Amino acid sequence: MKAMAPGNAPDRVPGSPPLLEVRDLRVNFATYGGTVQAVRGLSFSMEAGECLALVGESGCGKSVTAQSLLRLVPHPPATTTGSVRFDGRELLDLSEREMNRLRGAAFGMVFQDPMTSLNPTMPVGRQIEEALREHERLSRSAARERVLDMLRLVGMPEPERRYGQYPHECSGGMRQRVLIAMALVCGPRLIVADEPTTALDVTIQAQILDILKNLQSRLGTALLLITHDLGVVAHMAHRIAVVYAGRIVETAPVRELFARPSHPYTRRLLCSRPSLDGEAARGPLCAIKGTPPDLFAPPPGCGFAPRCDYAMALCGTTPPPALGVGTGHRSSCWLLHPQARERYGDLMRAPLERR
Amino acid sequence: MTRYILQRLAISLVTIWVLVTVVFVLVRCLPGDPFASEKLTPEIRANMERYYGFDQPLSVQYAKYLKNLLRGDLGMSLKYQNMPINQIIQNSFPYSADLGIRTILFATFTGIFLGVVAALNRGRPLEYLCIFVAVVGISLPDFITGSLLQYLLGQKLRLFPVALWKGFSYTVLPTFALSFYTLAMVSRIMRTSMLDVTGQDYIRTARAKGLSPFKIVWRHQIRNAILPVVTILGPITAAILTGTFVIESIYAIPGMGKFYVLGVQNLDYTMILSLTVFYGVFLIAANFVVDILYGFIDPRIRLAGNKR
Repeated sequence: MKAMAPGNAPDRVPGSPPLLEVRDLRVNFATYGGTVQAVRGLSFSMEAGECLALVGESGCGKSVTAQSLLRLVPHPPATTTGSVRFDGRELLDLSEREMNRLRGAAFGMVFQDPMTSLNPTMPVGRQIEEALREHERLSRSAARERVLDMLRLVGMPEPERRYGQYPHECSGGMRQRVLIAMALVCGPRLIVADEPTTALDVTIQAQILDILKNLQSRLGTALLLITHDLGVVAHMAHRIAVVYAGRIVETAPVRELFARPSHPYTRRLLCSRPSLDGEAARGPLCAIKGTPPDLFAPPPGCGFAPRCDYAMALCGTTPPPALGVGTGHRSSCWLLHPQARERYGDLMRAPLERR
Repeated sequence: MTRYILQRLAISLVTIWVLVTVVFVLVRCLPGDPFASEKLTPEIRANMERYYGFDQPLSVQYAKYLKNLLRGDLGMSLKYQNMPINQIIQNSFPYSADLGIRTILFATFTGIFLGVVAALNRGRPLEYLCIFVAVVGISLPDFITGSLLQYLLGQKLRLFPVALWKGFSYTVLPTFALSFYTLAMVSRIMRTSMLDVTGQDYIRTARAKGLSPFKIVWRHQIRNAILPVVTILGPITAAILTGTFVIESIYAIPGMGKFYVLGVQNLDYTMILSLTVFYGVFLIAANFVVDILYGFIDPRIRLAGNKR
């Protein structure tokens, strides 16, 4: 089997729409304390068979984005606006019934915590089978065969025995395999994996990532990987989108991003990562000072401005547009804007007033 | 599994022995004696005491009772002439059991149903209706419910017979009166438990699979939410048991409750003792069944040795 090398996203037939296209996605949660703007105008697109990683720190809105693609965010308290087009269909306009036909069949989801994401009172095999039989007319025995095949595919030892076991009889890694098998069993075109390795041991993490990577390239499934782990990203993704305060600040092919990060946040993020190369010259790890913005009242301009070393008055008032800075490389920072100086001269000379 | 059952059995025997001993001693501590209410000459009195063995030391009586108990002989009633207590149980227990089983089934199923309905209609009038029913049920003692139903449905509307036990229509009022409290408890627990399960990760997983809302509720939510209800089935059985004393006398049902109450009133030593033992065995058995049932519903609690 041939694993696809990271960095080479599969080519798209010119003129055909992308597999997934998210435009100006906004998700707000109404709470007693006010409205939380978890996702604030997030846009990206994915090609069939591609692996895109959404990277960001806790609370930046990446999980909410993942769940709102499948419309799993409860309404109320949430409200979702914008556009999510999957294979040319607008998902946000579909009825719940139509949506259910797609969930699990056209796109599967792998959740963060395998310990709590499986029903404790149902054998794991039945839980996978349930997903399969919901979308395909199959006899019990045929479904069972398909499930066993799937369990073998995700590297589950003794699939026949595991089939009838309950989640508490499986280890964390086994459960995550079950969840992956569940997401893949109907042969979806897109898998959304929300921090699939966060709850696992480091050794198991590598196994699970290998499984995901292999299956993704072998089955040609697109994979939207949500993570805060840059190591995972380098290992798996074709492209990376860096999320900060509910928006994508920079997106680039994986190698390009690691080699030439252009957004100040991305740079700080990469700089705060330990290195095994023995680069003692780099000195101590740097931390990004300050805290992520309060999403009850996010900054009106660039989300990162309050923590940015280079922030100008302009950054505090107007959000920067996404600017092309290389092939497939876009970054949202006023410093990269070619005409900003002419247009906003004064605002660019004055530093950001910090409170 | 076998080992567990044997262990359980041994513990149960000890429990019953303790029960017998404590009740034996306590009953004898009560002021008065079984023959105090009747005007008897000292001779007849001595005769009676000799006949029932009360002239012997307490320890001998105790040993004798235990010996008979081991043979399954519960002794003779002191008040009903020539009436072995085994006979009394045989005649009256079927009525009590009938009422009890109807009540448990009706109360748990209706309670679960109301709880599910309430949880699925969060914040809507239907939920408040279910909560209202539950609060009323928990607040009303069964003798009030019982008499109220007799008056309204039996006396005023004449929908059901007021008393006695002679066919299905006779069972409706006492079953409902006895169920109301339990039903309310179960519905409250079920509602809370359902709401708790709704927020679990595996429900989100089920939704991500594209399951219909009905299947999610039926296969994933109810099965998990029902566990706390199963846990209280033991105490529920006990509550219904004591409830039968009251309901049976309100509705003139020829069950065991009447004999127990009269036995206490008359200081019918053997009657109190033997019926207590009988109820004790019954409750222990009920709790045992609940434990087995619990493991059956939640595989995580399956008993040791039952794995393969």
